[in-house]
Amino acid sequence: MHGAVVRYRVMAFIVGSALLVLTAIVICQYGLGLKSQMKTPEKIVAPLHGYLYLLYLVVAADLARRARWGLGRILLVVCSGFVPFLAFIVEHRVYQQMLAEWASDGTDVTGVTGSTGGPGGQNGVGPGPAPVASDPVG
Amino acid sequence: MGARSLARYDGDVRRYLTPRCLALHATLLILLPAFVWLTDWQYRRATGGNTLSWAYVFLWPAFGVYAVYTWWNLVQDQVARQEGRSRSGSRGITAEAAADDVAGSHTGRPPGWALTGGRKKNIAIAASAPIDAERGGKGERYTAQTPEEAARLAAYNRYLESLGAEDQPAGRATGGTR
Repeated sequence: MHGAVVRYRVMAFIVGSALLVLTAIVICQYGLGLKSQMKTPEKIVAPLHGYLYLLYLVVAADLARRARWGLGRILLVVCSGFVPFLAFIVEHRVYQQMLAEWASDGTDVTGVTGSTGGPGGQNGVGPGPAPVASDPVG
Repeated sequence: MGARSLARYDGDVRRYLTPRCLALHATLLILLPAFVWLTDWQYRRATGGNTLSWAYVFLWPAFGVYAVYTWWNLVQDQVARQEGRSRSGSRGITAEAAADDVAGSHTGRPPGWALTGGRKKNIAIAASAPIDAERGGKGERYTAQTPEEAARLAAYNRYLESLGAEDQPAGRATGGTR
């Protein structure tokens, strides 16, 4: 489980960063009128982000299966691959929630002593959207 | 025989037709054609000379495979959760409930069916199912809705039991004289 969490967090960071770069490129292209100069970076970053996102999905699915994620959390994690900044927010929330869940379970899988047993840890497993949707995301 | 097997078949399929499952099916039915169309579009662009499109020719089908995989897992998960809600889990099951389960599955009828006429809620049975506070006060097979309700039911059952104990010797005596 530890490995799956680390893989997910790393991939979330990479995909989130790639998406930010891609967003910046697109803004330069269409917002700042630098379409010709930005052709090459876009050609590199866009497919790279696509395949990294695929890898991210596989890693996330592995963690979702192990940790028995609910529908809402899976949807959020999938969406965070193509909504700018969402990857970082969702990754942070998911990690905190999972820490809290493990703390309440008594399983210490991360090697970090689960001192973050914050609110919402008890019902974080269930149909995910409720605790997350209350947050103004984006 | 035919009608009965039809009813069982109907019940099996209905597990996959709950609102959540239907939403999952609908999502897949929208996503898959979209991915097929995108693959085709990128393939046409790639064969038309756009080298970059070759990357996407293989990416979109991969997303499609992932969509099917996720859809299948989510549907299975939903069905398992529904089953877990209406049926006893294997964890923390008492010997009595297990025996009831076995007996019920042997006859194909729920325990206490003669009392309830096949309806699922029965006072005596609901209270006899152990109330597990850790699982939100859910009973094993026939769920009492809240712990308070379960307590009231249990109290009522104790009352009935005491009435029965009072009646028993007198009942035998009167039975003898009749």
